[in-house]
Amino acid sequence: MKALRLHRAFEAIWGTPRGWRGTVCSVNHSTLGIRLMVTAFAFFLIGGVLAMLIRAQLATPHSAFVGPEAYAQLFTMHGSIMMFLFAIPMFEGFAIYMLPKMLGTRDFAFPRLTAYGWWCYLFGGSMLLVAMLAGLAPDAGWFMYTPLSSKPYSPGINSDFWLLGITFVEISAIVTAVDIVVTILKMRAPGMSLDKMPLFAWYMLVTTMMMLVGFPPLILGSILLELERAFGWPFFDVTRGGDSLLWQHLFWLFGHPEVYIIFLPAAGAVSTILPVMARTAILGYGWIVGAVIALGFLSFGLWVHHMFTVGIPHMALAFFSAASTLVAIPTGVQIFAWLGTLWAGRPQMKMPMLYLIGFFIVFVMGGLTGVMVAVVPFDWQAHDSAFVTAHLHYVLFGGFVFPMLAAAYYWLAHFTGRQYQYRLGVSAFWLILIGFNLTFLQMHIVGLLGQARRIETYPAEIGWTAYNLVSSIGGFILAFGIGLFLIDILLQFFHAPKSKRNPWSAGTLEWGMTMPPPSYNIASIPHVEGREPLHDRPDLALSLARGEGYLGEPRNGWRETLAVGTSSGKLDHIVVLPGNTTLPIWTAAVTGSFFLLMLLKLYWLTPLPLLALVAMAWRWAWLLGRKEDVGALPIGHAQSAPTHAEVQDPPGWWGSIFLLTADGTFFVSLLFGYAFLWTVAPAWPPPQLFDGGVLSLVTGVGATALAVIGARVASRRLQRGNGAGGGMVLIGLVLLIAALSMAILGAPSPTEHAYNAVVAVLLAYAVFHAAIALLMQVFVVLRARAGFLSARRSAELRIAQLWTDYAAGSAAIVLLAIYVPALTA
Amino acid sequence: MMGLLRAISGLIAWAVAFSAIYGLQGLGCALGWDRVMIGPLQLGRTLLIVLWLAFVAVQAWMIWHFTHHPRGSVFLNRLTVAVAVVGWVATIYTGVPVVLASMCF
Repeated sequence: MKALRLHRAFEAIWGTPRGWRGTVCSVNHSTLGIRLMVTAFAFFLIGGVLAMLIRAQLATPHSAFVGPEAYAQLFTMHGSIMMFLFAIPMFEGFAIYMLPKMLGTRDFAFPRLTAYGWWCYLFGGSMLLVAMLAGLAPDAGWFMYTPLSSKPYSPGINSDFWLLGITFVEISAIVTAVDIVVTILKMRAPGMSLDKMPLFAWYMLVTTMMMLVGFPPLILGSILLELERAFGWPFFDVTRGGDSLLWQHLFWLFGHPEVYIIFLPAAGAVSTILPVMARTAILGYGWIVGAVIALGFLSFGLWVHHMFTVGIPHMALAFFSAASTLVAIPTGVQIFAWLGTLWAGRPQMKMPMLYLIGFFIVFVMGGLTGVMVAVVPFDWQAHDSAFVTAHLHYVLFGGFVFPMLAAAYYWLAHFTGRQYQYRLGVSAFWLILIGFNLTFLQMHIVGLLGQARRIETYPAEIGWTAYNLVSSIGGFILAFGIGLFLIDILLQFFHAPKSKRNPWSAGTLEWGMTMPPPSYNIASIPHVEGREPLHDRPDLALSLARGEGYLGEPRNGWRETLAVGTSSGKLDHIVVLPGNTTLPIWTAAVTGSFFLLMLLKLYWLTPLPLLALVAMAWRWAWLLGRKEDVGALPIGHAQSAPTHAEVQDPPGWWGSIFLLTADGTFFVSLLFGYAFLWTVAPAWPPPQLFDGGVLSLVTGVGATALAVIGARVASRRLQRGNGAGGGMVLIGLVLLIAALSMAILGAPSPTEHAYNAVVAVLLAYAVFHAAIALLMQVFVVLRARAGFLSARRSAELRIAQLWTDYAAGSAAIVLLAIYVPALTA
Repeated sequence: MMGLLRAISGLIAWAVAFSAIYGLQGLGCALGWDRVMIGPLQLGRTLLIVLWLAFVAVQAWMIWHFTHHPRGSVFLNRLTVAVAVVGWVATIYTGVPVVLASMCF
């Protein structure tokens, strides 16, 4: 009875209202995770239909099924949808739904940000779909190579849809990555030190860190290309000092890690499902963690292997060829750990296991062809041929779709609350496996015979007809298989008996709750002793439902959960999470309106959504916090902990650290572009260097010092109980903005040469960050006056200090990067 | 967090080494250092080899340091040493082209 009382009490706090109001205001991670997965699957089906159209066109020579213009839109949208609107959101949705349950917590660190990410994804994805329905879909290939995607060769709005829509979706990916990293590092159940963390969480930690470092180069590239297309700033125009290879570098700095970003979460699912299917513990936990970390790093050393044929010196080719072959080793370590686990256990051939076998076969083949294209002479022969199309599908379909299908069957009961019943899934599996291999296996051969990727037709006498016809038949068999899978899954929702709790007898915490899970996940938070808490304590689920863990009694209507030390897993503080709100949907709508105005070329109106965004961000932050110290509160088991408002490093501080990590990568990528153009691009050095005068340099550097010192003075005053006196830091930041604005006014026209354009972007970056820091410092001063800050409640000041330091540091680097070459010339 | 940062420092060192060597190669070619000779040695290649060996030495020291100065949990210490070894091997392997391949052709 106690469990039922607790359930009602927690549901009243954590639940979502019914109807459309609940739809727009929910910040619950389970709801949002399911929404993301369902939407991503819908995009998968759309992308699949596009693939069918591609295969229909290529089935016979001289096909008149679609013309070349429509075909270009088909393959561009197929790639873009599968990469950006299916794969990334699918694993994000899965992680959003599953991670808090595995980690033994009640929600994500930033629930409103989770919701914002979802709405941004929906709106951004919808933009691309509207473009496709209007016949204006992007048509320059999913990697948008310049100069093909530049204005002279793609004069329509098609490429703008890609650049703006994908950037919008990437914002969603970045904020979700920050959310996931902080949740994994801080929001675990007490006792769950890093070595006791579920492997899936390790995989997601590495994946999301890769996203924070890997996505900013693409966002930068998209912004630069859109600036070139919209305003004529020539970053990629060779005639005015740009270089089209800069786009390739920025794109593949994102694009290659992206492959691993997609593969690793799926591998995390494999590492979770496989030992349960084999009825044993995973073999080589530590080895797998090491291999995943190694993959996370090494995969950033591969990007040039997509550029082996552009004319790069042999030494540089060899660096990247070496890194590309090296990355096979940590991948191999995981595969051997999985095989060893199967060998050590007693595998059972259930539905998830079938798909895992499919994964092994297909992915290993894709990995081996990957090693082939990592070798430069082979790549020179196979580059841009159907061989590469086959390779990437073996890696991505094998490495992502098969494990995700295994995951769908493994965790199905978690979503439906019903046990798997029918045998339709077996037929679906065989159709998918056979259909996939029929489609892509001989594509290797026809690629080696010379068929280039992306061609819309071919002559009958060239000898490719049979290969393509079989591919197309295979593609349709695969589509039938996916259709059957969908029917099988839907049947479970409506026509299957209730499942018992933990149907696979797994040891991870997500199975220690009712199915489908309640909005708060668990009525109390466990103290974790090992990697498989449900095996360590078989009565744990019932004990938690009775409120016998931490925070087992609702308090003040607060959404409470616990935060721990990042490595040790020791109890740190209570986190009180914000409740349902419509702020995320409004903020996403305003963000979307900015991109829409850019798309419609109504540039003069774009300051409006930017101002609205500032107002919303202000309200977003102002709604949190308290005006009094409450000290340590009891959490059960005779322990107490302070709330996050009264600790030095609450989740918000950690979120800023990781957001600044992504921001820093963006900045470094911009500096890389500057250095690349200076050393490699033709028409450099520029005809005229920046001459802004020494005064603005000295003023700017002095102002950065004043801001940094001022932020520390304000912090010290607050600690001594003298309020947050922000006078010095405010003066420093205003002076910095003035100095940077003077520099912008004195800068040469950005349309004349790529140097001028890069200088303008660097200065704009510095002004933008100084303005953010200034807003934050003003916010802190007003919050202090309103009574929200005290010596104990000082986290907001520390967060503002972080952003001020970053703004000052990046502005100093920008000033030096611009002035030093000019002064020394 | 410092424990986790320490654990991945071996591969951070590889990333820095890889970027620095690739950057120096690009800079050397842009400035024509492959055509400047210091006695029998090519300036660009000599600088690259020195930089490569310096990183190999620093990373070897990191392995020694992490092995002899454990900090925190056994798991994190093992991970730290293993990642340092991986980073060291990766620097040696991905840096070998500075000896073997033509610098700017």
